[in-house]
Amino acid sequence: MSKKSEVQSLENYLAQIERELRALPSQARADEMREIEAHLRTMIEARGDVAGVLAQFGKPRKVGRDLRRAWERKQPEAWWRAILALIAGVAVQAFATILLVAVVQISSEYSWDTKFQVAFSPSIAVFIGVSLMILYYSAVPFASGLAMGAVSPKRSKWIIGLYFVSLLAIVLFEQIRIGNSDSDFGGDLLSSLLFGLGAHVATSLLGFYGVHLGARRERHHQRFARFVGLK
Amino acid sequence: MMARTPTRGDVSALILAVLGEGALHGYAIAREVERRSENALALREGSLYPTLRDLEANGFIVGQWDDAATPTGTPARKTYKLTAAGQAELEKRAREWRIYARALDGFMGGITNVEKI
Repeated sequence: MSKKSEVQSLENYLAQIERELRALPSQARADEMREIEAHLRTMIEARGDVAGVLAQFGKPRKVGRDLRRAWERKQPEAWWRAILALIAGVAVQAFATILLVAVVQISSEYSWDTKFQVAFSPSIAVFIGVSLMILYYSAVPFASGLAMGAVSPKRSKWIIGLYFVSLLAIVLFEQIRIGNSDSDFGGDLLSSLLFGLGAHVATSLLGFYGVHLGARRERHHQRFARFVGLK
Repeated sequence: MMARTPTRGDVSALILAVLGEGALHGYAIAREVERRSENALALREGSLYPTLRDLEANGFIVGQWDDAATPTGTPARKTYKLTAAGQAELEKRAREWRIYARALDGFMGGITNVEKI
């Protein structure tokens, strides 16, 4: 291996470890990287075989992940953060819903919906309308997860999981109740169930992804924590 | 004989045992483990640092940066030493290990047709 590619290998390796440590405070992350780099450079100086040294040190993502988890064990999360995360998640959803209701009210008052249907052909109007609803139902769980992950990185995934299970139970119960009732609502029970299940899986996955990003982005976490007065 | 990778629990015990002889930095801890095990133990050196953090969090060791670079230009190092709690933990683990090794020896010690090391 040429000298240049050896340097590149080492830099790539260190970058992969540093990526796993993004959630650590800046100084702690810098100290960890400094220590690991010093260790690796000393090994390389002694052995000369960069690839062998990196293999002996271990897979970079595993090294970084284990180090991050050791830091997380050092700083147990206060229990009230989970409650705050739940409030943050509900607040985001409530805000988005109020905004949506306000837009719908204003649009019907100023006949925006009629003007919208006149301006576009029926199929395009439906397409735009459905796209906006999909955007709403994807952006809101994601934003909610982001807020929860920033407040309670450790427990937010459990909260989303609980949310998914409880809403799923409600949806299943309601669908079965409607299907068994004498009302004319009717409809195919199985397709309703599948649609409800699919929608909840999709929104929960988006929520999980939001939590994952909210927990991992230290800058966002620190800024949000300062905003709500946690720091 | 192929070198064996110690388990996570063993790594913390090895680190405590090595630091029981004196303060060392991470690289030196890994080399000392190799030397004292006569290369029978192959440490995944990346596993050292999470274990060092756990030991620091439990108050068994303290780390200190030596900010002066070495004469050969190697970057500054963080040196670790045992605390009083660490010394007590080391003695406890050594006792547990002796009991365990004696028990194993009761099974393995009687087996004679082993290849010469």
